[in-house]
Amino acid sequence: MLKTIFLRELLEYFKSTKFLIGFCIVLFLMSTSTYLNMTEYVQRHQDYLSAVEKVTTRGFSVDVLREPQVMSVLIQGKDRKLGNQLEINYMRIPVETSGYMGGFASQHHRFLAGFQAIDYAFIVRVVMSLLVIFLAYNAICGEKMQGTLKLALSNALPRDKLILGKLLGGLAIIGIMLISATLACLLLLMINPQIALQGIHYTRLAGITASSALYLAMFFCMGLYISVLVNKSGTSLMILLQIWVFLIIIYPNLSVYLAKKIITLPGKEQLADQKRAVFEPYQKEYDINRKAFHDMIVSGKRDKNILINNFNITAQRAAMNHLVDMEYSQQMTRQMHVGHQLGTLSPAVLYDSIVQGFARTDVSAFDRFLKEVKIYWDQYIEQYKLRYTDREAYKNSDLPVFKSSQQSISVIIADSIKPHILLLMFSVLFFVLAYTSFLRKDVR
Amino acid sequence: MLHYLIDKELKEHITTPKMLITSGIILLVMIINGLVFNSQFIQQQQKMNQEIITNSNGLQDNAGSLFKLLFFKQKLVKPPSKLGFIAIAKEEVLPNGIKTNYYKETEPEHYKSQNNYFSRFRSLDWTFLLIYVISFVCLAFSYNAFSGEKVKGTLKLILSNNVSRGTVILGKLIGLHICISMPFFIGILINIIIIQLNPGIALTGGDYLIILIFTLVAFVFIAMNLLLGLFISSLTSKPAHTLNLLLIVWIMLVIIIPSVSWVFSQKIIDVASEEEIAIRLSNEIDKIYESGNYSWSWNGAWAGQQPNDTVKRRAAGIQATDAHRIMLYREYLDQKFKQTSLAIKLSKISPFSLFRFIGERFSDNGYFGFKRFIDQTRIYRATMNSFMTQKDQQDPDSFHLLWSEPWASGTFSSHKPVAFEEIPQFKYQPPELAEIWNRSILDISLLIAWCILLFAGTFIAFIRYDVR
Amino acid sequence: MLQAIDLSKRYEDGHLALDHVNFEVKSGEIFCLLGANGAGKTTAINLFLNFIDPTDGKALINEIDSCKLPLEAKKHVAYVSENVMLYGNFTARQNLDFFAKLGGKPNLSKNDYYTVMREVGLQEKAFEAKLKTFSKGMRQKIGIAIAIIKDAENILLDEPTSGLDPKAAAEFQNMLLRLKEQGKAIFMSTHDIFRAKAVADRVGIMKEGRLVMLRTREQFLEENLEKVYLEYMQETTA
Repeated sequence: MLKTIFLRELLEYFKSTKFLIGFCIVLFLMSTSTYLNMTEYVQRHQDYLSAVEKVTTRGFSVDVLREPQVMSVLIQGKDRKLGNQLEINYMRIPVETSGYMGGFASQHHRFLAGFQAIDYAFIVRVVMSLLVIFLAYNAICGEKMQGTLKLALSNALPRDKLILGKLLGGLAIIGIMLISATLACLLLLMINPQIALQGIHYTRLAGITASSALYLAMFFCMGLYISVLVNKSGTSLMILLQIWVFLIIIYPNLSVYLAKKIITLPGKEQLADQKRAVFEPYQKEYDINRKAFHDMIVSGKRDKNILINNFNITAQRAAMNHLVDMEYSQQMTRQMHVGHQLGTLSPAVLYDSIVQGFARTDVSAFDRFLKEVKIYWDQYIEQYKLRYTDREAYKNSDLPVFKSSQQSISVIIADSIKPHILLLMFSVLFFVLAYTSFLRKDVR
Repeated sequence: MLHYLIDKELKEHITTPKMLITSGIILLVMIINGLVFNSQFIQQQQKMNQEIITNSNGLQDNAGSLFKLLFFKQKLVKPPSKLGFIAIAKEEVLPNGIKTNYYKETEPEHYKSQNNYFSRFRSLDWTFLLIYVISFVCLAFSYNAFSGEKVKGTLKLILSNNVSRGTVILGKLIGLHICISMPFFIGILINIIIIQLNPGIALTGGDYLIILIFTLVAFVFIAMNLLLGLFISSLTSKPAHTLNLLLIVWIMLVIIIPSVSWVFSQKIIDVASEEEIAIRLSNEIDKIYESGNYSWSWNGAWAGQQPNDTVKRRAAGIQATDAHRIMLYREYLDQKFKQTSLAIKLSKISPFSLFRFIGERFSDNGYFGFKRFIDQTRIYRATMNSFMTQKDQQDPDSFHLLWSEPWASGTFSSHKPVAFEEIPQFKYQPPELAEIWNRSILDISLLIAWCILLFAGTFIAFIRYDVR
Repeated sequence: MLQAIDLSKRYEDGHLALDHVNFEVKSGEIFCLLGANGAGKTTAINLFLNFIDPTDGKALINEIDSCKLPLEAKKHVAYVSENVMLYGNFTARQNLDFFAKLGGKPNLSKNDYYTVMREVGLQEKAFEAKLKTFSKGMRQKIGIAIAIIKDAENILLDEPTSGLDPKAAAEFQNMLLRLKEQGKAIFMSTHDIFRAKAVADRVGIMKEGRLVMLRTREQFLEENLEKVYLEYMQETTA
């Protein structure tokens, strides 16, 4: 019986125009967006490689570069937005990258920010979730209106098998659409000679696909539930569309707004005051050293001790400023996390956090980068100091190489367990509600 | 006959659950919009006022010497728009200020605290409500306008009377329009009341007029959405088919066309990267000095002495460099404007984009607001520079040689004080209704044209619609 | 008066639904058109109502060509369709009110509607009930009430008794006879031979788009109408 229902559902979907058209739209959008994002990624990667080659300077500053992520082709996340280049010297450790999107050929200028970029995540989050709603909204009420529900149940068919069959059929269709779309994207990535996919990328992609399936399953279960509750297809559709607008668009905005109210970020003046306050005990020493340094420049007589003292105090000031900046950065992350906590009920927020984690285009990837920059700065300072203490050693030493670590997939999976569980819970909840409601539904 | 059909549509939909849900969502979004706008506007306005005061104080502090005034970098800012609740338009991302003095001009920046870590979801403004919520509502109300009545058998019954098909279409359109516009209009009133309760926001008569006209345009937009649904409904005989087609059309018009338009604009109009511009500038500076007319050397005279040839050549070289820099970066900015403008034009193939950008014009936010601001800063800078040049010319002690090296040029320009009251001050002028109207009339006309086209299409399709 | 003069309809796929059909329904007369499914009965009604255009011939309502002047012609005809769904969220009275206004009767009072609903045999408690709670028979009564309230000289009925129980069908029959006495020209397409025999002044049999038999009341009462009908139908299947 269950198999019969399941196969009928599959056949019904395959023969329906809405599935066919939806499927074509999804494939088209996925392929086009992947192609466009891929071109952009290749440019960004080339810019990155060119910039890395140029980082041999022994000058005053050195550029630290963050490699663009391959998976940003599919899940843009924050990879482009947070930039990939910053400049350090002994006076300064920035916590923001230079410019909005970096300064290379692949930059987007801000004015086009008004045009939303489409990526895999956007298509799943917005387009496919809408499609799933359109597939599920009349799963039960449509059959009731047609009279086929009565006909089906006039046979020895338990109600629970019917609803389970509908669920399995729906999930199968979601799986087919998603896997086809993902394979299309993967194919495009694989045939591009300028993109090198490694084993880890395939694992991440599998994680992204599975998470996307879970996200869409939640919408299907919700559609099924509403379809059981109401008797008219039009009403079911209206309710589902409004829920979709609320969950995907209104609620995430609200949670961002509330997060900004709960955790207020200090203004630039406040930050400047904090930095002054933190450095206050050393300010006098700094002023003395700076004056001595200035006088030395004006006099034209090089004094090694003055240079070293100036270097040390300035580096110390940079490190202390950096602490304040990092605290600010942590505040931003906390604000963002509060936004996420408040937005927990929105599947879009949960989904975004999961897939960005898998793609390494989330904020925590950027946070890790900043921490690595500090570690690198410490190494750089050690080497730079030799200019004043041991010039020969400095000339013979190499510029430290910036190393960025990869977060292991198990850590990513561990971090994403909570949102996964939440999505699963929502799906199960909606299905259980649909199931129990359907057992008691008047099918006449 | 028409009023009976309208009456029927109203009675049929007003008390249904879908109408209640629709009204609830519309009112919720409008209330949230009002409350959020209130708090954000005050915050932003306070910050901008602070910037303006700081800038004015800076002018005052530096007015004691023209030389200091020449180097004082003013921060010119665009205050938040009072009508921003119509369309917020990525204001958190777009620049809203620029630093400039006699010699230099920075790239536009944004002077707000912002958290780049947040994902960018759509802002809950009026254009969002209309494009993403009300368009869905129109879709859900109109998709079975004809096909649903055909299935019920009532279409045949209506047409078995002395009722023309055109009247049936109009009856549906007007009836549904009233159903959907009512909660929207109530939402507008509540929204305005909430905003007006804020003592920091004073809407003038002109602002109300702008709001009124935008509301009328919104009604045209609602009509367009309904006509889209009616048109598709008149092409199909089953509600399910209408829905499929409408979904595709909606995704095309709301998501795909606007998103790909910028891709095409990037392909058609190439904008150099900042690195390329920097390289170009460097090459041009080299060319300037290769000409032999300028020099980097400094063998200059000091205080009280006439500038010698070396000084003049150095000054001229730096003046030329600065002028080139400003020109190059302005060209760069203009190129970005061109690219954005093209993306906007291409996206206007979709009536949803048309409406979105009408909203941005009315609210003075987004790309249009930003471009206006930049245009005004350029005019101001020219005025201010002309003022300072004139002041320098009026000082007989000055050698009238102004260039951007403070350690060297101080001896050759005027140090006389400037009356603060005489200094031109920058104040951003938001657009008047006439300007908004002139710039939006084409888009509004296109939106109306869409309505006419869709109505004609519906009419032609429905004339041949099989009602059996 | 309803007149079909050489009325023909050939669809785009080549199917000839009506083939030069001629009949007339005078005032105070009930004309029943019998025939198998697909014989062309509903097509004839659709031509009178200008839902489709004839390929040849004319459909006249009170001598007005319904193809050339459809709106004018529709002023003089009322229609009862086979499956009367109407507006489920409206009450019976509200449905009546809407269609009465469309039918050129904007000034009727509540009592007028109640009178008509009583006339068609609807229970009082159903007058202000929503139509989605009605049975098929009750909805059919509302459909007939709509036709009555329009007070048109001609009435077109498309299988009005299909799905009605014997009691409801009998009530319907009585109503038809009352309408006939009022001088209405009534055209009814039906499978219900029993009902046709009970009410019809003339009967026609449609077969594959052609009017193959036309009998007056006296003629078909003499003959065994069921036997004649079945013979024609068997010829079709043979």
